[in-house]
Amino acid sequence: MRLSDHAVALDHEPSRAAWIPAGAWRRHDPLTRLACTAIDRLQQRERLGPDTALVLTTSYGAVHATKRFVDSMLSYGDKGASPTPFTASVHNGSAGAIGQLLDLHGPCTTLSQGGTGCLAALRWAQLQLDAGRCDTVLLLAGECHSPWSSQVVSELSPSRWPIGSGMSATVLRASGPGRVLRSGEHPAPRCLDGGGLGSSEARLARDAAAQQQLRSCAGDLLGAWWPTATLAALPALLAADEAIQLRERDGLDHLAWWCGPAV
Amino acid sequence: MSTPLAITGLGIIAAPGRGLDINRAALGSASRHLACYADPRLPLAAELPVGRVTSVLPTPTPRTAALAHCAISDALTDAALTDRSACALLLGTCTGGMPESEAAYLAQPEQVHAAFAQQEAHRVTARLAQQLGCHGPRSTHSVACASAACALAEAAEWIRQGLCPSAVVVGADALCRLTMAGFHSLKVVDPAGCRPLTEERSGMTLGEGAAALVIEHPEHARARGARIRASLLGWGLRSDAYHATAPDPDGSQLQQAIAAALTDAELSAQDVAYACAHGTGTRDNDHCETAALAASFGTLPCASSKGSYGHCMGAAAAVEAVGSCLAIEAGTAWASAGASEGTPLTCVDVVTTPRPLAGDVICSTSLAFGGVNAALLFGGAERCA
Repeated sequence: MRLSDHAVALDHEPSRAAWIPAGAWRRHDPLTRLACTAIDRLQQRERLGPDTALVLTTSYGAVHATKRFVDSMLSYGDKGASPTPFTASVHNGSAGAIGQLLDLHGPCTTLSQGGTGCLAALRWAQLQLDAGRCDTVLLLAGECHSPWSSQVVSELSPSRWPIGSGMSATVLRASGPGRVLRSGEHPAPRCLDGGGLGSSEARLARDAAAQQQLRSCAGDLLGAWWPTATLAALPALLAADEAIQLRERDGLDHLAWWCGPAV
Repeated sequence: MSTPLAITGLGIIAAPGRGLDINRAALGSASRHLACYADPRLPLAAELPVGRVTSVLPTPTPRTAALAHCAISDALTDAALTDRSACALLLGTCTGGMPESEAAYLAQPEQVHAAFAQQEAHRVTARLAQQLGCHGPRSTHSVACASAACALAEAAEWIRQGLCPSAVVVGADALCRLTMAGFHSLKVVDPAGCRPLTEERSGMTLGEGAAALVIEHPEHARARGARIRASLLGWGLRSDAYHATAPDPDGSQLQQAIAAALTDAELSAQDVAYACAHGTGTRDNDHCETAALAASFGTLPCASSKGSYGHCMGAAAAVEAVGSCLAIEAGTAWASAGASEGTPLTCVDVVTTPRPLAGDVICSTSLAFGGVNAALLFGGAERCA
């Protein structure tokens, strides 16, 4: 599989790109807007064909809409809740909205995979490409926290990084130009660790020593952390024409991929 | 040719009860299991009927995990799969731990509650894998009402492409206030209980439950001497890119999903004997779904189980997958519960009383918010030979 194009949008209120109708922009949840901003930065956005598959990986989903809907239940009762945030709160709502904006008709799926979200999404993308279900996958990985959800995550899962938001947009193709992406281990000189909340300095140091690799954590590279940050942190290490090991962990789950030089 | 996969274990818990026998009987009689009940945790259920699970559940919460635990453990027992060291676990769910976290939030909105930590859907998967000893890879799909269909599709590719020899796929969702209030706000709930695939249909009925299927590479199943109940022959996924909640009225992408599943299975439309429709009972869903089924298959015998179970959301496709396997085993096209209370649609052949199944291939379709269309093809056990 080839990493054909890649872009990132980080923790800020994005502005509307010309290809997004103003009405749609107003309706969409901040998670969808953040994804749109990342997509807008792709060089290949206009070359995404109608059969492109879309994979969104997000642990928390549209938290703004979910809270808005539940708050409307609190204010107006179960019979008076507002339908608009309900439809946006559905976990795959953002993927559906983006598919509609880009007119994509290929398989559209949303994963909720916690700290292994990016690499699990790469795995699903590769399987679809290998099975010939599509020739291109647009993979979106990210979270968009509200102040409330940031507080919740910070209190329930203390991390050495502040909780942030961000979205990566990656175009994956079965073949052609681009960096190689494969699952498994690689004797790469550098390793990007997704930096799950369970990661400890001791384990990172032990792994780094064992593999004699220069290890970077997604949170270190981004200044903040969220469960699906690995691919957003990747550009910071992509400059060199060398392979990079990618790792993610969540509990007992451990996924390893590597990103090779361009071919 | 894409490998047909062996289905060696089934488990289900839903409104009719827990276990294959009770659900086979419910499907065979097209009995209705939708009722109102008084529960302060689900106020709208006092006025709107739901398909509620009343069976005793194991103690671990969230409720979605407890439902899934029942279905998976029954499916693994049914499959006699004792060595689960490489068995994958895939979950399809909409709400994850929502019933518990919404209850905590609605009671004390200013507090950060421990229940929120169980909200993320993948935590349900991790908990189940640990409890049930499934140490292969895991995945959690949250694709609204097509969640379990997407999980089945990924499991099929995991096994075909050698990532694991076996997988247990579960769809699970518990009833929660958010879902009920949400669908009520969209004005798509039938206060009298849904009547899918009829002219008089006026909305859906929510349900809850879990259904699980153990899927294996046929060589793996044969090598361990497993009984093969049915086969998973193919899958197709397409997107409408049309509207956030409403399906594309012409059903063209569902039609393409069906075509992709047929291509995957190397079958033609004439090979399919029966459609286990999503059939929610909403005006839009049943209109576009039957249009796609008619365009794909002509007047194919067709039914929906939602008049019996309610719409089990992320579990729906798994419930229908188990129902499809039971139909193939029984050689019976189940009737569409609630269809006899109205005028069945005529563009498809709505089954109103059970009849012999004229073949061994069933197409199960799912449509979801976000414009997702899924088609799964199930066949008899001998197709794995």
